[in-house]
Amino acid sequence: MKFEELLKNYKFTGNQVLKITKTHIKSGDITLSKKFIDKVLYFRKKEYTEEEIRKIIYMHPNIILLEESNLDIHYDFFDIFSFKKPQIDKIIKTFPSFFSLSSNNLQSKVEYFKNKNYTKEEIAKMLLKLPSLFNHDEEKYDSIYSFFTEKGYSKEQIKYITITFASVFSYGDKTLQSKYDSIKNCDYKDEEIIEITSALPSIYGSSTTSIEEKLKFYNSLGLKKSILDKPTNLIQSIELSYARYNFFLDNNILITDDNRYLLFIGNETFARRFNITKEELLNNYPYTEEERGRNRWNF
Amino acid sequence: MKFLMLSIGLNDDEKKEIESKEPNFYEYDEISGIRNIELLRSNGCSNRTIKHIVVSNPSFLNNIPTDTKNLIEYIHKELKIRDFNDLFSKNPYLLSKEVFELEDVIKNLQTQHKDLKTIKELIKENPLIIEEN
Repeated sequence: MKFEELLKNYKFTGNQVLKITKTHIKSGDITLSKKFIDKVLYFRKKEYTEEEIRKIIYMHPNIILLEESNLDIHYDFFDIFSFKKPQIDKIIKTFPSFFSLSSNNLQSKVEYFKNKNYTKEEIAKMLLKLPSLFNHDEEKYDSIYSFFTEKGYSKEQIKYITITFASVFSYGDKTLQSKYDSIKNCDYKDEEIIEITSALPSIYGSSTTSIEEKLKFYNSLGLKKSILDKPTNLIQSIELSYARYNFFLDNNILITDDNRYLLFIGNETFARRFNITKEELLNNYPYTEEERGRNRWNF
Repeated sequence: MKFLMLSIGLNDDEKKEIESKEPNFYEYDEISGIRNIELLRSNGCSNRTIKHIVVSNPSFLNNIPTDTKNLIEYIHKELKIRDFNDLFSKNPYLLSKEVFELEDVIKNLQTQHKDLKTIKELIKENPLIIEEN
């Protein structure tokens, strides 16, 4: 059977067939169909579902040309992390191009992080959070470490950030700098930015617009201290903070340094204490687009 | 992925943000991306939250939709969390986890002498705790 027809029979969509055949059109390999079937059987033996096999092949069509012994070597690589099957499967499904990284390349990445004093368990954690971690070169890793070091983060803080939010390795230093600048634009000092981002590394993953909107919103309400005291308060939506703030105003509850934490307590605790649910709050005090625009203007 | 970007109304800055994080974004399978978005919509996520998720964690769109479905079902059944709009807007990276990873986090928290009820509350209020464990 022709390679293209085989792909269609295996329920690849028209666009997927186009992408896969485009990758292989130059290879001129007349045994593509056989190699494709061999790969499907290989992954079936590894207990992948048909949906998973389709994704692996679609995301990395070159996998069809790889020898099975080569794939086996890549599976063996995971032994050093003592990964179980679901962990290995996650990495393969998310980043099938892993099979095209050479063994030497993979080993050198492991050594790189070991030299930075990461344990195997910590490297494994990062790999699960960012399966494409080893796809980046050492120069990129260096640029991330330089970014944090030059800003004044301690070694412990850098390690914590990179383990809990390994995606920083895929961003690059320019992206990180733009997030850093957006916090600075909201009137935060360097040491405050380090404190906030070390406690809440995922802020580096938020859009600059969303970072600035949130920080300026709390600044406008005089609640900067609430963020500095507990940066994780930033994960609460502006809509809820706005509703709770206005609820307090309507009920003549003065917000002071002693009670501002109430704006950020759990929903159930808030409902019990003030006899109003989150849904009622959001309905009674909607943070409308008009309000959002007005606040932006006021910033 | 261009159709998908249009359908959720991303602006130019948001598109640039995604491209800087995921240079391979346009190679993702659009049908899977659309099915992942539909799963979020059918589980109560607003368009604003969906945009936030996609901009913060674009690689979520590359999930196998069955994995996303299994994850949402697990959170619903085992953690009894119903407000997915709130949960995923607080931790958009949660959508890149698989069920076994959440199970591991719960086991880990249990070894820290936390009972299941407390763990569920912790995850509900601060789902970023999953990233720390």
